[in-house]
Amino acid sequence: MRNAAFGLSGVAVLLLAGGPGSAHHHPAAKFDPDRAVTLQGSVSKIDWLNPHVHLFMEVTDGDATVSWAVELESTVDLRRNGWGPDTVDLGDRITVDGMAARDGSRQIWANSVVHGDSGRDVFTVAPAEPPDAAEAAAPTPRWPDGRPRLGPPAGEAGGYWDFPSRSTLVEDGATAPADRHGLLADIDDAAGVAPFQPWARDLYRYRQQNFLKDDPMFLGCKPAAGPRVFQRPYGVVFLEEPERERIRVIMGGGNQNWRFIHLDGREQTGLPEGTAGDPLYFGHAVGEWDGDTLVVDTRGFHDRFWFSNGGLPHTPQLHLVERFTRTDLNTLRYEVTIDDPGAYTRTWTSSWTLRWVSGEELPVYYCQDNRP
Amino acid sequence: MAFTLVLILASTVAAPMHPVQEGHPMSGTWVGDWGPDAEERHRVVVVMEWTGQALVGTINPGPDAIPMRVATVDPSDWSVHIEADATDGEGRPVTYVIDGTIDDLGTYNRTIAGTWNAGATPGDFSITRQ
Repeated sequence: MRNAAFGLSGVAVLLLAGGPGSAHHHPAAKFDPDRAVTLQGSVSKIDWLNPHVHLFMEVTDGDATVSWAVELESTVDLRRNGWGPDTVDLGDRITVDGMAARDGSRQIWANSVVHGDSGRDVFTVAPAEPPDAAEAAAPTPRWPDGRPRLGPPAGEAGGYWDFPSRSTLVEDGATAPADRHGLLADIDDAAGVAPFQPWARDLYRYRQQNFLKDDPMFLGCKPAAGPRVFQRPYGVVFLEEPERERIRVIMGGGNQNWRFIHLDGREQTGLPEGTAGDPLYFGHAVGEWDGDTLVVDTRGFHDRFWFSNGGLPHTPQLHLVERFTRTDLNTLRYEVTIDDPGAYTRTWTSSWTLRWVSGEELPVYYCQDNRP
Repeated sequence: MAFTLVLILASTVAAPMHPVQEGHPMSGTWVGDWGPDAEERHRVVVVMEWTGQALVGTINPGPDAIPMRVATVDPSDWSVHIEADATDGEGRPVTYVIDGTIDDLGTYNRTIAGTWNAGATPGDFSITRQ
């Protein structure tokens, strides 16, 4: 059985299948693809905020005039495509095609916005593409001691990792295509995604079948943590701090939160439910280099977040071993071994690669600008 | 008037913000009541934890705590079965047999409701995760 989100028709399919990477939520988590709406009216307000830009429009039907909120992508995605808060002016007439909110409120997810009488499409967003791979053959940049650099080459500034080759956690060797939000193309693939305990498998199916609507990132801008950090849009920075023997991992996809990887040889003190000094969302991470691979051991998570796109469950028993290998200038191989006897029947591994975005800073994306 | 509203939905109520679902659905503290009828209700606090292999829990933690002897959940339909050995108001042993179903599974403040039989006395219950 194919997932309901992929059994839609018309414009909804175009949106879900061909749209860009929304950083915040799957459109179907909030909007009903079966409730197509076309609105014509005038722009009354432009709310240029993350996680989603909103246009407010006044729509007249007979003698009544009502306000609708039109939800668009994030400011980051819109700016990348050349749009800004001045793309439309207050009072401009627009036509919006989209899908209505599931809760019956006057909100619409815009599949298209047509400006005025010109018929010009505005606020269109193309999928983000990785930079030109012309530098793919460049070798791994290194520190003077020969250890790989996880940031820019010496003498350069900026840069971050983005464009993960896989959008959700799936055990290596399994086949379970999913969209960029982690929503499976075929719900029948769910059981093969990971070695679930029955409750975890069925909770994962429930989350999938409800379009990930209970995602803490969606509901309250809670941080991504664990391997999800490396599958969110808007990238990741490894800020290496050798004088402090640690790496600060800064997450572009969620309020620019950071986690530390301690390299000073300290003991692993993370416990289920964390310890007093642990940042529980991110656990307690200690790392060491094994040749060209940084190996990071993390424990001490709580369970108030989703550790993957797509909603794979975990418990406070979660223990991660992550391996980071920069195989050349542009490629970071990420491998994570998941050990959570509370949710899975055995340890399992997933891996993917990230692409170096040279010379650019992390996009400024604060989900909390317009969410709790 | 050139503007046309093709479809207007009835409600103007914005989506409320909900706390989040996390971890095992049964883990946490639940509060509610049970009783044989609408007049006789007993407030109850239920604490449950998923160890990774089993559910463990306590009814009314404190000096009169009642440990659960059996606690299971069937994820195929999220039905719950609990058994616990308690005493009645006169100190006589009584076994609670509790069967219910998790509702609103995806929300933090999900509920369990169903039957709560105290020995031969049938009853019902509803508890909400705190």
